[in-house]
Amino acid sequence: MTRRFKQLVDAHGGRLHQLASLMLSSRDEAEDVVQDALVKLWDRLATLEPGRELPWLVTCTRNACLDRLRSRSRHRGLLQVVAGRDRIAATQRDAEHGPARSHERSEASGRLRTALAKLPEPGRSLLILRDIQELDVATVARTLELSENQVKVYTFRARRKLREALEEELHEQVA
Amino acid sequence: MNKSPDSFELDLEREHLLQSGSHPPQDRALAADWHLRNQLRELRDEAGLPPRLRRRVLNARSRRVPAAWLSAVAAALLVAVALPVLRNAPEPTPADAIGAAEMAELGLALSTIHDAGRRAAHLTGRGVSRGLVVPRLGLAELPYADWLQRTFQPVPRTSVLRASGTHPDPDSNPQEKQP
Repeated sequence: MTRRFKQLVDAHGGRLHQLASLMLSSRDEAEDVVQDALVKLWDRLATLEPGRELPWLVTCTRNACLDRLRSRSRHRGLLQVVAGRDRIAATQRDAEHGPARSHERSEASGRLRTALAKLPEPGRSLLILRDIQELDVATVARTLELSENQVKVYTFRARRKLREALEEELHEQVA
Repeated sequence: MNKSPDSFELDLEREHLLQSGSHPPQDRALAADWHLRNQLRELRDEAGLPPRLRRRVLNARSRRVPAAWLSAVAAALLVAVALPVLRNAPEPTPADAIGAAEMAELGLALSTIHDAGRRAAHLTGRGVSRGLVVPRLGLAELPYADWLQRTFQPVPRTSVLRASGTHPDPDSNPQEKQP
């Protein structure tokens, strides 16, 4: 069981960490959420059907993120502060990969991350799981308890909403 | 997200178009969606779980292992200690079980008491007979079995009335009941 657990941690841990980071815009909180989800997996591993681990983990992580976002919304304004702090961290991380493209890349991805974090659910989760992590439609449908066609249509609409938000932001900057 | 069914079908078709093509569609809006989808793909982080977090997870997991082992040891101890004690405990006897020796003593006592005592025993017997489980008394094996049977055996009132016409108890003397 220990070996299976380690395999699952290595196979899905990164995906969960990115999901939580993008949803929460905070690396520290994301780490806490992922740790909790994986420790819960250890407790459930004996009863969890093989092959069902990923949907279970994604659901667990996403629910924990939504709980934190809900409690965070009670303290409005904090989201912007945290998003800004993480944008700085992302910029520093990108800078390590090469100074030439880093500024452009970090600015674009930072804008994208911020706009993504502001999207309402389930659009935000759908874009993370489908477009960024490229999970198959069936797994996402099972995870979010939607039909496969709903996953496709809601992903399309969320993407369009995100594009409109980015265009609006760009428009404001130009003006 | 709730729009008309027509809009749902249209958006489904657009999404299929975006997912199937490796080139941007002709439509400008769809082409912009296609580019955004590719931009989002670039955000994918293949790095996996940060090593520090991985260590934290594995440590947290291993801290839970002793707890599970302790529970298993506690359960094993309980089985080893409690089960033999429970097995050796005497079987509880039913409260209304009366042995043959007790019944013999009772018979002897009844045969030696005088008439007034017999009447008292008779009346008492009628009073308690409804609460006794007669088949368990084993009356047939005892001396004075008929007497005991008549004294303690509950007699259905209706059948007695039907059989005798007047007297509720075949053994009872109507004169005795008169004050």
